[in-house]
Amino acid sequence: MFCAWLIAAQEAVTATVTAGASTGLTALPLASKGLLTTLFGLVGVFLVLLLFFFAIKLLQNFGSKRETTKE
Amino acid sequence: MDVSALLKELFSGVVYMGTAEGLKTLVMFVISGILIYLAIKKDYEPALLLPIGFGAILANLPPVIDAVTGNPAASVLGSEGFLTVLFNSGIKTELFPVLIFIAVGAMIDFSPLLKDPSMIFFGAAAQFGIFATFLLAMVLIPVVIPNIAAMAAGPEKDSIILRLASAIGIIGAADGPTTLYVANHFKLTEYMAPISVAAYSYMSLVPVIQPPVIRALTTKKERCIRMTYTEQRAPRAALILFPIVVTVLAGIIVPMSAPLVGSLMFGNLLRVCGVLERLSKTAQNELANLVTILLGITIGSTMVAQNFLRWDTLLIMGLGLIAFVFDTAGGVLFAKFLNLFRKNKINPMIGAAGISAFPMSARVVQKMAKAEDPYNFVLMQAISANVAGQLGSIVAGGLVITLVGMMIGW
Repeated sequence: MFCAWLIAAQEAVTATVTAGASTGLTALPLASKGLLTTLFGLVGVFLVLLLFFFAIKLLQNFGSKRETTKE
Repeated sequence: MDVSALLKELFSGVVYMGTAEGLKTLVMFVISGILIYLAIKKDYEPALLLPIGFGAILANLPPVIDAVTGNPAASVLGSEGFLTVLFNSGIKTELFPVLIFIAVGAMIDFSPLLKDPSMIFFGAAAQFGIFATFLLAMVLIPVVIPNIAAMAAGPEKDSIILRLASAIGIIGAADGPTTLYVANHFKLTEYMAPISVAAYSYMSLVPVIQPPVIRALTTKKERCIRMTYTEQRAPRAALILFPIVVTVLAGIIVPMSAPLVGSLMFGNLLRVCGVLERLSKTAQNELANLVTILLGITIGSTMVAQNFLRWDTLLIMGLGLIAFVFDTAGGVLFAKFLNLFRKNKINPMIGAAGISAFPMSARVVQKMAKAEDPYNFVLMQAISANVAGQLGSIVAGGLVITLVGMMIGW
C-alpha cells in the first residue's frame, strides 16, 4: 500500500517536473536554445567520457589484480 | 491509340530525358559518375562511394509509366520499389546504423585505450566541431534555405532549424551511422540525401581534409614529438568487462545513445570474449559487407534530383566540411592546451584522431608523424584517440537528440 502510494507520488512529481522543465525550455528564444544545447552538449560529452575514464581505471585494477592472483 | 502515342509510351524514358526534369537527371548522372570515379580511380572509401554512386543512378532513372493506365508504375523507387523497401526497412527503422555498429564493434580493439585511458578525452575534445557547426548552422539555415526562411517565426520554425542544425553538426563527427541515426530520429527525410552523402563522402576524404588543418595548427617541432608506449597488454577481464560497463553507464546516463553504444559494444564483446570466434568473424566480414552494400545503395537512392539539386545541399555540404575541420581543430588545440601543463608532451596530431573515422584518422596521423620523423611511432596513441572518438561521437549524438528534443518539446 505504502509502496504503491510512493510510486504514484514519485510519478506525479516526475511528470510535473518534466512538464514544467520542457515548457520552460520550449518557450526560450532560439539563440538561447542553441547556446544551452551547445553548452550542455559539450560539457555532457566530457562528463560521460570522464566517467568512462574512471571506469577504465577501475577495470585496469580489477583485471591486473585477477591476473596477479592467477600467477 | 495512334502510333505516335504508342511510341511516346514505349519510349517514355527517352521523352523524359528531353524535359527539364531529364536535364536534372543528367546532372545527377554526372554527380554519380564522380562518386564512382573517386571510388574506383582514387580509392576513396570505395565500399561506400561506389554503392552510393550506383544507387544515385538507379534513383534518377526516368519513371516507368504504365502503358495501360498512364500512371507511374513500379520502378526502383515508388512505394513498392526495392530501394524504397530498403529505405523503409533499413534507414527509417534505424536498423542499418545499428547493424553497422555491431560490425564496427567487432572490428575495434579497445586495448590501446584500456592501456592509456587518458586518450579518451581526445574523443570528447574532437566533438567540438559538432557544437560549433550547430551554432553556425542555426544562423545560416533561416537565411539560406528558402522554405525555412519563408516560415513565420514560431515554435515550428525553431523546431526545424534546431533539428536540421543538429544533424548537420553531427556530420563533423565523421560517423555516418550516428549522423543517419540523428537525421532519421528528427524526421529529416527531405534532407537525408545531402546529410548522408556529406557524412559518408567526408569520411572517405579524411586523408585529404585532415592533413592541411593539422599542419596549419602545429609546428614541425610539435609534429615531431615522440611518445612512449608500453607493450604491456590490457588485462583480459578488463577487455571483457569494458563493453558491458560502457553499455550500462551510457544506457543510464544518455539513454538515447543506448541503441548505438549497445550495438557497438555487443560487437566488441563478440570479439573479446574469446569463445565466439566464428560470430566475431561473421560480424567483421559478412555482416559488415552485407550491410555496407545495402546501406550504400540505399543512401544513394535518396539522391533524387528534386531533393538533391537545391541550395540546401550546398549549405549542408559546406557546413559538413566546416564541422569536420572544426572537429579536427578541436582535437589538435585540446592537445596543445594539455601540453601547457604536462611534463611529458603529447604529439598534438593525436588530437585530430579523436574523430570517429576509424581507423583512417589514426593512419593519417601516423603517416604524417612518419613523414616528419621516420622513427616516430604514434599509431597506438592515435588508435586510442580514434576509438575514444567512436565513443565520443555516439555519446554526442545521444546528447544532441536528448537536448534538442527537450528544447523543441519532442
